[in-house]
Amino acid sequence: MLIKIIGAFLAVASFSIVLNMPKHLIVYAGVVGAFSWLMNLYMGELTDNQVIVAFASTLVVTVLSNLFAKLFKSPVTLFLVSGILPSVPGGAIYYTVYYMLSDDAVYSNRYFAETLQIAGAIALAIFLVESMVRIKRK
Amino acid sequence: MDYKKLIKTALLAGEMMIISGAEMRRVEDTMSYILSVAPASSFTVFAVSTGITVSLWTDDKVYTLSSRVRGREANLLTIYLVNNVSRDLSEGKIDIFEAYDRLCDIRHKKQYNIYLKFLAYMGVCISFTLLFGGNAYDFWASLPISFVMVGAYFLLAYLGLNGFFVNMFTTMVLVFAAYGLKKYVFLDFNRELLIISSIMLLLPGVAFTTAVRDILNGDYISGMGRMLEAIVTALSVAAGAGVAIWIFHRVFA
Repeated sequence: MLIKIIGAFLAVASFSIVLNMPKHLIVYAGVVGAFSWLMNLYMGELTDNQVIVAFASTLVVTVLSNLFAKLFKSPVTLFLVSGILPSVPGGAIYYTVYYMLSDDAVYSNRYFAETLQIAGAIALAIFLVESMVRIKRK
Repeated sequence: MDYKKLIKTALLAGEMMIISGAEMRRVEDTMSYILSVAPASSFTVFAVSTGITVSLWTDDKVYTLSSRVRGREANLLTIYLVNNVSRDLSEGKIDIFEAYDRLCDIRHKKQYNIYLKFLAYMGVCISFTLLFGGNAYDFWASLPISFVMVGAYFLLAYLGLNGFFVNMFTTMVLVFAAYGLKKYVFLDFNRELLIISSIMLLLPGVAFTTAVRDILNGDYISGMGRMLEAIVTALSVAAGAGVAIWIFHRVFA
């Protein structure tokens, strides 16, 4: 459990270096990643539905990104694009191809649908939080 | 007021933001902040992901500049610094000439050297094996595999190959490395977990996120462009994995 959270922190922190994050903000990008994966693990206990899990963890990422952006006077994009990484449906994409080549159309289609659904869930979570933030500003 | 300098500064800032992968709303806002420094004038900024047009009306003249923006390289430091310049300028802390100089300086700013970048790329792959619940075997196996994969990625990018094929061939190298290590070296690791952890590096999370935010802001042209970029990138990874698995099953198995 703790190792997974540390893994999430390191993954997002190193990905933010890949994206050339300003030095003093790398740690906070990692924090965003760690919290999103904490949410992911927690929701994973409650439900098997990967779409809901992705939705919840993206909510955490977007809220924290907006918060940190306010705190450090920097664009939201900085935290959002690196923090979103663990939620990206890499496994679903891989298994879509994997089962396609094993001639197992049922599983392949299932994972393809899951890929699209997770992508939709991420989009919806970002939509929701960002439009909330805008309401408050007015 | 030097209007020519002002409009050039705004255009430069916009170009840098687009190339660095900022969303269009922020590009246009940043340019508007810079242009609003000019007294007694009105302006229009129009930015899409491949170009910018900006016009500035003063009492007796109209200035218009446009720019075709090519190339894309996600760079958060540039977004951050350009944002700071426009903020300082609109708060009156610096003048337009200093702003232009600072923008030119940002272009040459290198924060991390290539070795650190290499380690960071590897770090993403290795950390993801931990994040997905890998055990000690997975961790150790991910060291050589991510090294080979990131090496291939840097080499292909250095050769100047099209982005689609960089992703595709890198994924092929990754899948070969993972399948080969499992088959011939007999390490007791979870092959699928390792591959999934490593392709996270190549998947288009950045393009997808920006696309969603562009669409939400009503920048449909740029949003659809980025969305297509995300889909093509995901397809390149899928194609690479598919081809490599197919070859491995046919030739080595």
